[in-house]
Amino acid sequence: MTTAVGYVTQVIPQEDSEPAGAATRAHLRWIDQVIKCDGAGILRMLWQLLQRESDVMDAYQDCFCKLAGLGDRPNLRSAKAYAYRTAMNVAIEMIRVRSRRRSHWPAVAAERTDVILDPPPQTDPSDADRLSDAIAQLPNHLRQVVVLRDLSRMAYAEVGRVLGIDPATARVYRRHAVVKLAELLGEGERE
Amino acid sequence: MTDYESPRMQERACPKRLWVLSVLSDDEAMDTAGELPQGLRFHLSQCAPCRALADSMLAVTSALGARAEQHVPYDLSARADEQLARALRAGARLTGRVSVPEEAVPQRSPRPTPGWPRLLPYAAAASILLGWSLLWLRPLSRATHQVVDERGRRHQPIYLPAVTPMGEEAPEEVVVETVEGPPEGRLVTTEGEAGTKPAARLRICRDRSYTEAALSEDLTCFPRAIVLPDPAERARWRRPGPVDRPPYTVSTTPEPDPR
Repeated sequence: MTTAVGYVTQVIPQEDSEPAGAATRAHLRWIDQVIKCDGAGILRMLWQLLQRESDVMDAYQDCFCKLAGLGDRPNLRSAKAYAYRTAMNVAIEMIRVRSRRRSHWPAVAAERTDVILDPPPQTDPSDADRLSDAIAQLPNHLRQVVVLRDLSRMAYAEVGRVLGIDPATARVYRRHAVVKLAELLGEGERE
Repeated sequence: MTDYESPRMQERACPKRLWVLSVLSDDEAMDTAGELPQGLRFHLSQCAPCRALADSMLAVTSALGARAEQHVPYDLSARADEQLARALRAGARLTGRVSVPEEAVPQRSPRPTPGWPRLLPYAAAASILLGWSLLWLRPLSRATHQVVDERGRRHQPIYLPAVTPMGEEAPEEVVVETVEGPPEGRLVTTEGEAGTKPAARLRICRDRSYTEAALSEDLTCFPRAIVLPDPAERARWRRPGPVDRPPYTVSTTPEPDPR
């Protein structure tokens, strides 16, 4: 007997689904293609965003399982762009969950503890976590550009193709993103 | 630049701030030059706020660059691909939910709560809503204004709705003259004696407020929220009485005891 709680994504094998075989492989052929062409790039982007092996593997799996959920021939303009954006969203959600845990869990633990304990020591996020949190706080369009350009080291033309925007627009977004990141990190240091 | 300005204001006060931002945030310009342009370096050596701004911007770009330099562990890709292939072969789909054993979910109460107490808040809310709607749909109270003439004879009572029914717009301003005849007439209300007043005038506004001067001292038993009759009824009030009986007036005294 199980109960569904929370909104965290998890991959659950379906017992009734069709067994691994020709039909399944045909169904996922387009995903195989994306993995072959862009899997390494997506994994690198996830690594630079998440910096933890377990999280990266989870995010990588979540991303492609989401793509698998789209079916045989999804109506996508660019499977590569969709895969990058999906992976980015999964990673950003993980960063947000991490951040929430850091800030909320001590209070939740104190609330649910009968014995009054000393407040748990506040764990300061590392510089890497601060940068990840700041990236997660950026508006979506700025975040996508800064992740693809600065972390994945894509050219602006490639960023534009993935996001479906003009390269010049991507360049402007990247400038805005850097200014915003400086503000966010400066505020974090002041706090 | 003055000393009383905060550092943030000083930053804004520098006329070249936007130029500094523009140069420092453009990675392609920085890459091609390899270092900061000479003009910018000179300005930064002269302007402390812009130097602080440049430091923060360069810190961000260097942090991003350092992050991008980190290499993926060499076997991570193989392990991730293997795990993914296993999951896809097994027909894995994202459910969007975590399933945990039921015994792991904390129970709020060891005993199951009976069903009906859970409905109590809804019942209370429904009764409040019903009462409130009744309050607005029909008059809260109907003051019976029984008109008596100067000889003490009673006439048909006039019902004045205490509040305006919902959906009807209250008149912007109603002036009700409670006297239409000789001062000796009386208006009897069901709410008891309120004294006699030969002439009284109520000025009631759309928001059901009334002016203090208009509310007669002797009419204090009138409901505060009274909205006086519709135009037809007002006309009826103003209309002189029939020829065969003296014009009546109203006051707030109770009906005299016939004995």
